[in-house]
Amino acid sequence: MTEPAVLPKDPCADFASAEGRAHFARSLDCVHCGLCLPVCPTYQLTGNEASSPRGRIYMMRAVADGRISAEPGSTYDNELHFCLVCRACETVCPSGVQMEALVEHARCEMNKKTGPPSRARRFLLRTVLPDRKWLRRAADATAIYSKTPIGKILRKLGIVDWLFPGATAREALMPHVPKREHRRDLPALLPPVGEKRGRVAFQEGCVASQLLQDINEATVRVLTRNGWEVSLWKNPSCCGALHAHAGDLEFARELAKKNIEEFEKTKADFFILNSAGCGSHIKNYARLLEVETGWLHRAKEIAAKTRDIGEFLVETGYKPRNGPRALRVAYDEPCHLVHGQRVSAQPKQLLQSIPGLQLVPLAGATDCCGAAGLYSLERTTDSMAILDGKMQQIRASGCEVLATGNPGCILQYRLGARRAGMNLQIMHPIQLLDEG
Amino acid sequence: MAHSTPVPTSHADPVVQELVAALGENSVAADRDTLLAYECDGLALYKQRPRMVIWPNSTEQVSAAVRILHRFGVPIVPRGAGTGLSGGATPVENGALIQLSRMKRILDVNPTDRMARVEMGVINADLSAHVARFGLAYAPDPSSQTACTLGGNVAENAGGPHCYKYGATSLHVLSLKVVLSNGNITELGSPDADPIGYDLRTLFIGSEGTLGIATEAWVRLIPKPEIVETWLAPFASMDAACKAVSSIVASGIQPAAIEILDDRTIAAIEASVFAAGYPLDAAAVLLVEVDGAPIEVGRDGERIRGICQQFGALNIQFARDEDERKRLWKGRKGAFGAMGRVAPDLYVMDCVVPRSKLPAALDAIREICDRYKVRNANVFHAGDGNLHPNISYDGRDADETKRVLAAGEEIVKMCVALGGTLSGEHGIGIEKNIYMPLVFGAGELDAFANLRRAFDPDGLMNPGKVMPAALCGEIAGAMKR
Amino acid sequence: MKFTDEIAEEIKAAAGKTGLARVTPDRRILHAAPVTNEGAALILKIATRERIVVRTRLFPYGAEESAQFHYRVIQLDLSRLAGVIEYSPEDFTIHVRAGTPLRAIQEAAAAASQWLPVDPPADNALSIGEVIAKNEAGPRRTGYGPIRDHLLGAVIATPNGNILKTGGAVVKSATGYDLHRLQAGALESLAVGLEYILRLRAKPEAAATIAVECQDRGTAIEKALRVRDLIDHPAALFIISDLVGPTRVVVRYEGSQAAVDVATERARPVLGPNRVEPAEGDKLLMAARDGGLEPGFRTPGRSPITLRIGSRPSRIQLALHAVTLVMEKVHKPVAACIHPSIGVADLWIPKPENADPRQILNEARAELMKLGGGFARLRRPFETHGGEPQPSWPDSAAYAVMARLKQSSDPLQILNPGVLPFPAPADAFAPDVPPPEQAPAARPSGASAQPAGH
Repeated sequence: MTEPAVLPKDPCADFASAEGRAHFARSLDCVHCGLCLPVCPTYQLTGNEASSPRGRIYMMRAVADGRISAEPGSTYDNELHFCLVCRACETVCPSGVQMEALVEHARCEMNKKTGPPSRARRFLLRTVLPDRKWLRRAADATAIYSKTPIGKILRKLGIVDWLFPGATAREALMPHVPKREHRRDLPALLPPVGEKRGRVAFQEGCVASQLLQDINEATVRVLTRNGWEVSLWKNPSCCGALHAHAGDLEFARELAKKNIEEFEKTKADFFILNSAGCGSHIKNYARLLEVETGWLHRAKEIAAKTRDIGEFLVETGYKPRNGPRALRVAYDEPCHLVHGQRVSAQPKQLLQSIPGLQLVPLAGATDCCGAAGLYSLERTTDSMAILDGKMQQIRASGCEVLATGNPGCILQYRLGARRAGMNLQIMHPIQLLDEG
Repeated sequence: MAHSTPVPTSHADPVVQELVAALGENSVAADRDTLLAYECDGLALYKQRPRMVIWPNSTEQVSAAVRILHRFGVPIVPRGAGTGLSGGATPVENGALIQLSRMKRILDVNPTDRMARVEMGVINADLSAHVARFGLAYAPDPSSQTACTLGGNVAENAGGPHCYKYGATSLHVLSLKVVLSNGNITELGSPDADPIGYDLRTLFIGSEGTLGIATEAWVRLIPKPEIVETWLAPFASMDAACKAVSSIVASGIQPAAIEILDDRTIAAIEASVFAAGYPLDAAAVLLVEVDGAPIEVGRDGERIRGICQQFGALNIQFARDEDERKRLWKGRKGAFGAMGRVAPDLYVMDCVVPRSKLPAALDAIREICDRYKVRNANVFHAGDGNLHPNISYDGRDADETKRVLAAGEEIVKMCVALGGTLSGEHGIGIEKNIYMPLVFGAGELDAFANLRRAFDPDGLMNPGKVMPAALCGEIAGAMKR
Repeated sequence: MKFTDEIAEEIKAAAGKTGLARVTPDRRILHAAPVTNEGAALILKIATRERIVVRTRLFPYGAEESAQFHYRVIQLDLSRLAGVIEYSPEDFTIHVRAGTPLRAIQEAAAAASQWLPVDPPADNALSIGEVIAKNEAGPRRTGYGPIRDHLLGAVIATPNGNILKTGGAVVKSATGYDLHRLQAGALESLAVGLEYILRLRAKPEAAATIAVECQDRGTAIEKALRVRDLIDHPAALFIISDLVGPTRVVVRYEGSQAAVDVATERARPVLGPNRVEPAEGDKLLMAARDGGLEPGFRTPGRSPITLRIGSRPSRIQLALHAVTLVMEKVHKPVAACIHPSIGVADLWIPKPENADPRQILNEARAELMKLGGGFARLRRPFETHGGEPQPSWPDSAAYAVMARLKQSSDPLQILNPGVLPFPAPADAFAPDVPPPEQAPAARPSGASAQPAGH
C-alpha cells in the first residue's frame, strides 16, 4: 500500500495542489484491473465506467495531474455524487484502494468550487444532526407536518420548498415518526442485570434516536441482560459520518474530537454501536484525525474499542434467546458492516442462535440498498432504482422479516416495502434476539 | 435526475447526433470526462481517448450503431468489462467504443443439451452461478472472472487455471451472433453439431475484436464435478516445483489445474486482502486441483502428494471443503491485484513456452529483470507452460518505465527462442503487435490481413490491434477508400 | 485442354527426384506425389498460374471429373510427405507430416504410453492430413472432441505457393489468428496441409464397455442420455442400430482402473450388469467407427451412402426420424450409429444404381430445416458439404465471409473446387469446355464440383 508520507492540514486541499497530492497518492494503489466494476451499484445501473470505482479514480487522477479541472456540473462532479460510498469496491479491491477516503476528499475539494451549501443542507448537517434538542424539534415538526393540516397550509404557501428546495416532491420518502413517548432519551447510565462483566459506552445515533428508539432500547436491554453496564451521552448526538461523506471534513473532525472526549469520560471498555454506518466511521476516526496533533493515538484507541453490537456479542459471548421466534428471516448485510467493517458472519450467527428462526438465503445481500445517508434525499431517482432492484430480490427470498443492522437501511427498506406493496417487517437483528 | 445521463455535451459531432437519434441520449456519451474514463483498459500503459462511447441494449442496437459508424468511416473498438491486459479494448484515435455492459441477460438455459444462450455482457462468474442450480458450470475461469464479460472472453479466447483440463473459450462456445463491420448480423457456428462450411466461430474466438462484435452466444455447459480437492505444496526451489509438475503430468493424472506462484508473489498476496495463508518461506508453491469422482480424486490426490514429497515439498496443505478451497484459490485469483500493492503500477505479462522449458524460462526471466533492475514476480499456469511474469513499477518514473518495457521485450524474445509464443491467453492487442514478426513471416501476416479483410473489408474493426503497425497502415489505407 | 510436356516436366521437377509425376495417356490427369513441402507448394503455384484444378487425395475422383468436364486435373498425392518430425513426450506434443498415417502416430505415441484420442474410420489407415481436412472423429469424439481440439499448429501451402506456419508446440496460444484450426473441416479447399503439430494425451490405463439391447431407437436414446447424466464422463456413448443385430446402447469408460470400475457400477441402475468382454467392446467401438463400412454393405458395387446429421441431444431423435424417412424411400432398412450426447448420427444404406446421393442429401436437409435446424453432409460415397447452401444457413453474411475467405486464399478456385457450398465468382477459373447441361444422374459421383462460373 502506498501510504502518503505527509498529509496536508487542509482536508480539502486540491488534488492538484502540492498539498493535495498526498491525498491523491491513495489513488495510485489502483492498477485499473476492473474487478470493482460488477460490485458497484452505480455501474450496475449504467454500465458506464465513468460510474465505476476505477473510472472515478481515473478522473480523480486526471484532476490531480492537471489533465482536467474539477468543474462543478461536469460529469466528474456528477459521478462523485452518484457514488453511494457503499465501499463494495473496497471488499473486492485486490490492491486495497480506500475508495471512501478518496471520495470524501474529492467531494470536499469539489464543495469548495461549488460554493456554500444550501441553507437546508447546512442547517440539517451542522445544526440538527449533532444536537439532540434540534433532532427532537425536527422530529416533532415532521410529525406535525405529516399528521396535521398545518403541513398542507405550509405546502400551499410554498414555505416548505423555500426552506427545503424540492422537499414536497419527496414527501413519499418521509418516514413514519413515532409518538413522543416512543422516542424518549435513554438514561445516562444503565445497570447490568446480574453480575457486572464490564462497562460499555453506547450511542443512540442522530436519526435513530428519533425514529428507531425501539431498536436502541432493545440493544441496551440485550447488553444489560448480558451483564454489561451501559453508559451514554447525549451530545454530540452524531458521529459525523454523514458530514464526512458529504465532504464536510472540517466539521466531521470537530464531531470526532467531541465524541472521543465523551467516550473517554465514560471510561468504558468498549464502544458499542448498533448502526453500521456509525461503527464504520468511528473505526475510521484515525484516518480523519491523523493530521491533528495529539489526536491520532486517541482516535486509534477509540477505534480499537469500537464494536458493532453483533460483532461484540459474538466476540464476548451472550445469553441465547429463550423464547422461540418461528420466522423466516433474510439477513441483508449493511454496506458499512460487511464492506466497511468486514463484519459478516457474526450477525448471521446471532440470528441462527434464535430458536425456531429460519434464516433464508438472500441474493445480493451484500449489495447497497441505496439509502447511503443523505443520498436517498439528494439523488432520489438513483436511490429508488437501486432500492426497487433490492426489493425484487427480497421478495424472491420469501422472507417474512428482513433483518439488517443500520438505521438508514431499515428506513429505506420500510419505504421499499411500501413502494412494492409488500407485507414485510424490517427489523434490526438485535430486536430479534431481544426478549423484552 | 436520471442516473445514467452523462452530462450532455453540445453534440457538435454529427456522428454523435445520429447515434443519439438512433439509440437515445442515454446510450451515447461524448463528454470530456466520460471519454477520459475510457482511455485505457486493464493495460494502463497505453492511453487513447475515444471519440464517443456507445452502450447498446440489444444486438439490433449494436447493428444500428455500427451501420452509422460504417457510413461515416469511424473505426470501432468493442469493449466488455475492460479487464483485458493486452490493450484489446484501448480506444483508437477518433474511434468509437462500443461497450456491451448493458447486454447482460442470460436468455436461455437448456440442461438437456447442456447449453445456454447468453448476451456477451454477462459476467463470466455470473453464468456459472446462474446454472449451478442445474448442477452445471461454465468451464473457462480467467482470473478476472468475477468482472470480465463473456464477450471479452470470446475476443481473447480466455483461459484460466482450469482450462488445463477443460480447454479455453473456443472449446466452450458453440455459436456466436456477430455484428459485422457493415452492421450486418450473422451467426457463426451453431448449437447444432457439425455446421456446414468453414469454422468461422473458431476463427472469431480469439480475434480480439478485429473481425466483428459478438453480441450473443450459445455456450457449452459442463456438469459440475462431483468432488474437488485442492493441494498446496510449498517447495524450497522453483526448479523442484517445475520438476514436480512435469512428473505429475507425465504420470497420466489429469488435474483440473496446476498453478505455480513464486516467493515474491506469495509475499504480495499475503500482504493483501487476498491473504490465503501461503507459506512465506517457500521459494514456490504449487497449487494443484483434481476433480471428478471421489475414488479417482482420492487416488490422484494421493499420487500428487507422493510426487510433491518426492521433490521435497514440505507441509503440504489440503482442502476438500468449499471454504478451504476458496481460501487456497483466493490468493492465486487475487495475485495480480495484490501485486498492485508493491508499486503504483503493474505490468502483467503473458507468454508461453513448452512445459519442459519452464525452468529455463524462469531462470532467464529473473536474470533479465535483475539486469534491468526491475521488480519481477511470477505466477503461472504450469500445466500449460503459460507464464505470467509481473513487473511492478512506478509509471511516473520515466526511466523505470523504459526499463520495464525493455525487460518485457527481452522476455518475449526469450520465450520465442525457447519454442514458445507471444501470448497464452491475454492476446496480442497493442501490447505485442510489434512482436508479431518474431513468430510470423510476411506470408503469415499477409494471410492474417486477408482474413481480416474477408470479415471487415473496410478495416474499421479494432484497427491497429493484433497486427504490426506496417500492416495497420495498409488497413488504414483501405479505410480511406 | 491437355497437359503439355512443358508443364508436365515442370511439375515433375517440382515433385522431386524421388517424387512422382505421371501423366495419364489422355494427358488430362497428372498424378503428382511431391517429396518436399517446397515441391508441394510449387505444384500449387504452377496450378494457379496455369489455372489447373487440383484434387487432393481427399477427393480421388479427378479422372471422372476430367472426363466429364474436359479439363486438366492435378491429382495431388501427399502420401510421400510422411513421417514424424519431432515427438516430445514430456510436452505431450508431436509434430508430423500431413501424409503420416494415423497408425504411425499412435505407434510412436504408444512408446511413451500416450495417444491421440481420435478414432476415425478405417482403423487408423487414414493420413493425419485427411483426418484434419474432414475434422474427422469416431465414437471417442463424445469424450475427447474432434481432431480440431487436438490441433496446436500447422504448416500449410496456399494455392499461390506460399508456405505458412501458425500455432506451435505450445498447448495454449492467443497469438495471431487460428489459421491452422481453420483448416480442420475445410476439406483442403483453402490450402493444403503439409505438417501438423498435435497435442497428445496419456493413454488411459483401463477401459470398460457396457452394451445393452433396446427395443427401439427412441428407448435407446433416452437410456443413453440418462447414462450421460451420471457423474462419470464416458469416452464414447453411442447407439448401434444396424442390420446384423439388435439396437444396442454402448457406453465406454476410459481412465484408471478404479475410475472405470466405479463408473461401471454407477451405470448399473440404467444399463444393468452388461459389461462386455474387452474384445467385444473393441469390436463395438470399431463398428461405430466404421459406420458405412458395415459388412452387409461392403460388397462391390454396393458401396454405401452415408449421411451424417448434426443436431443436439434434445432434438436428435426427431432429426433421426425425419432423415430415416427420406432414406427409406431409397432403401429399407436404414442402419444408424447415433451419438446422442453430442447430437450426431451417421445413417447409411447400400447405394442402388443410378441413385444420386446429393438428392438424398438435399432432401434430408430440407427435412431438418422443417424441424428448425440441424445439418446434414454426405460422407460416402464421397465427401461433400453439398453444392448449394441450405436455405437458411449459412445466412448471407456468414456465407459472404466464407466466400471471401476462399476467394482471398484461392482466387482462381483451383483447389478442390465445389466441395463447400460457395459459388465460384464470375471471374474465376473456367474450363475450356463448359460442362454440359445434363441431368444430375449422369454426373460422375463426386463431381459435384462445378468450378467455373456455373
